[in-house]
Amino acid sequence: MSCRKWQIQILRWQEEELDRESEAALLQHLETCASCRDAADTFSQIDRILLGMPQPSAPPLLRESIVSRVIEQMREDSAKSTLSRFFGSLAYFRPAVAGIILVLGIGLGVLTGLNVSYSINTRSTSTACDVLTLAGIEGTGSDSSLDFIWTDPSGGGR
Amino acid sequence: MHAQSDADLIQALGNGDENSLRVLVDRHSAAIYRFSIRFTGDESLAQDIAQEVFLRLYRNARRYVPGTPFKAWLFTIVRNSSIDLARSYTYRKAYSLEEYSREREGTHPHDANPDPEESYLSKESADQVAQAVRSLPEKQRTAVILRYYEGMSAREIAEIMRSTVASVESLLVRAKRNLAKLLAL
Repeated sequence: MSCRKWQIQILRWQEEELDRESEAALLQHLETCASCRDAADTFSQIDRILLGMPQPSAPPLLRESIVSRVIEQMREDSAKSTLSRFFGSLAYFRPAVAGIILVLGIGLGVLTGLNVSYSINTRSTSTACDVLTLAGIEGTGSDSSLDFIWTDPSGGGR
Repeated sequence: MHAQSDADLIQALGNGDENSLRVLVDRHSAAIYRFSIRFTGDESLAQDIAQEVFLRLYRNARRYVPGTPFKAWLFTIVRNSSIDLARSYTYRKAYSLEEYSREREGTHPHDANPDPEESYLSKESADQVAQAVRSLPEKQRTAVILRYYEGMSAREIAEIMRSTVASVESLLVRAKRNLAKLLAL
């Protein structure tokens, strides 16, 4: 066994976790190995130093500050979950809302379409569908082209 | 008196019970603070870590599996929070082994007192030991703090560090050798 492994055995031995057989083997090794004996001495010195260290005490307001911070977070989360529950409950009405939006959209579309069509029709009556325009004589200053529809009421010809 | 077990309290905390939080803070905040201050050496960072630990405890309360040793679960969170916060904090007081050794040149504790154990009784020497512990690599430091200051067994430490008992024992041996070097024993 290497000294590295014996040193792990020393650690276990100092923590009283070694069985009798392993303890006897370790003690036998320590008798012959100066390096492991030194390690055993150093380890127990370190143990005493570490265990003799003073306990740091927590600041007096630590508990209060932790509690208030976590409670603040808990309440924030609770408010968020209330909102999400409210909006979550609206999920049942989603198809109905979608239907209403669809109907409104179609309605608006139809109304808009009718309005556009009406505007186009009105404009064409005043210009394109005018009789004179259709006859192609508008603005000529001559009425001769209307001969084909002109009849003298007195019976005289022109 | 709080008769409820930690496991019951953590489950109640998961359901938003503020009183359970208070009891858990009363029971564990001091140990968490002690670990953090030894781990970082910075009081305000240690307080932040303690706060962060309880926030994580609350957020993860529902993930706690009943039957899991509570202390191991708690200290896993403590260790992770300490590592995360110390890393992100502007705090950079921790010395590397080399820096620490360089700084200690000429201030050998044996110089003032030939008995090394007696010399560590003074505040100054206690500070030196604390600083030496903080200068250990993270895993060795965690193992030492949990073993010597929280009185945990190698098995418990292994559970917290998600490691094996053999690796923890090896960490402790290396930590002791490093401490001996740092403290010039």
